[in-house]
Amino acid sequence: MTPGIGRAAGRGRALLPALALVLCGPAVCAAHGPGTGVSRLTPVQVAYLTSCGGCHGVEGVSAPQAVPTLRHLTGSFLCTRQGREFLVRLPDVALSSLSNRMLTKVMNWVVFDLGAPAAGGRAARPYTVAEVARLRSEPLTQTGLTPYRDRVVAGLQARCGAPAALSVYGAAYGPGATPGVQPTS
Amino acid sequence: MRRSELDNWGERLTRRLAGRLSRRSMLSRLGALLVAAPAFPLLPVQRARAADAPAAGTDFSRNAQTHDDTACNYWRYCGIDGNLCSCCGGGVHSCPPGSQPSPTSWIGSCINPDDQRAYLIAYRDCCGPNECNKCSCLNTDHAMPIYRPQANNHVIWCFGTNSFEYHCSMAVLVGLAQ
Repeated sequence: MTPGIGRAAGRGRALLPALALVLCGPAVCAAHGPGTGVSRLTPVQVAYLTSCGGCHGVEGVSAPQAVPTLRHLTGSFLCTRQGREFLVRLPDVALSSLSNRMLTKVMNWVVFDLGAPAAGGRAARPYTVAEVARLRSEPLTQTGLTPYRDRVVAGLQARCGAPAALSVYGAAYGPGATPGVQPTS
Repeated sequence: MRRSELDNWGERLTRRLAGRLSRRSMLSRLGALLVAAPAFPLLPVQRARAADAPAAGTDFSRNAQTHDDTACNYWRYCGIDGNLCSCCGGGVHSCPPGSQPSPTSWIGSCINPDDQRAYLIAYRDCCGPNECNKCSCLNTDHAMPIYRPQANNHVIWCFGTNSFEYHCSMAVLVGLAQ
């Protein structure tokens, strides 16, 4: 099936097979089953969940080939300047409805909490509001995001030994993949 | 100079009051009046405005209930669009046998009428078998148009699963938002 938004036969629901680079941010929180208590969410977690967590997953893990995994991985992007800027310039991050201040909090939560590398990473400085405001004013809307991300990830892996798991996303879209085929988990 | 009747009347009233009332008595009555005044709404306009003030919550939450998860007005379904999995052999947070939960969803919030608090709800689809076609509901709290697909309730979220076939929708409780 060709990725895209269509209409399902017989009902008014559209099919959205590839929300591909919906990379916003961070997420949150532990979902509890009924009867085990309910997590109390912080404003940053609420912002992540309502802006990003539907696709990226409540805990930053979703369908890894269709939506980039955030958990334990996103923090690796701060290793290079290109990677650091890439995260904020992603269209669904840069063009989100969050304010500069809240977006900054969400991004820092994603890279230092949700996406902190399991093995630990090099110390990086948090995003500042001014930095996020500057970066989001230059969204990556004129670039093929998947090839661009491949280059960013290759740089992270060559210079910082970033995890191979960063390459899982988009693998089905890369060279040798069958065009139009939706990756499945 | 000739005095008017009004002047005469005013003088008589003033002299009468001065003869009957002490200054302390006047002060005590004036004080009581000031204290009691706020207890009585003075203007009908103010009372009419208060009666029209909207109650808290949304239209959905004011009519929502918390005991029947097979009805469209169950509180967690404030933004759901589709067949209720609880009518299809599953539950409000579990897929019917033979179907697979989508790893992706859209997340909105609903008010629980029992405590008037907002909870985040993940609208997650169950995918695989043909459409269930039971208990079809359409509620739109916090849903956005299709050009904001992350929060659109028409989207079928069956990507990342083995099948794109839509079966039914769940409303998974994520957490307390406030």
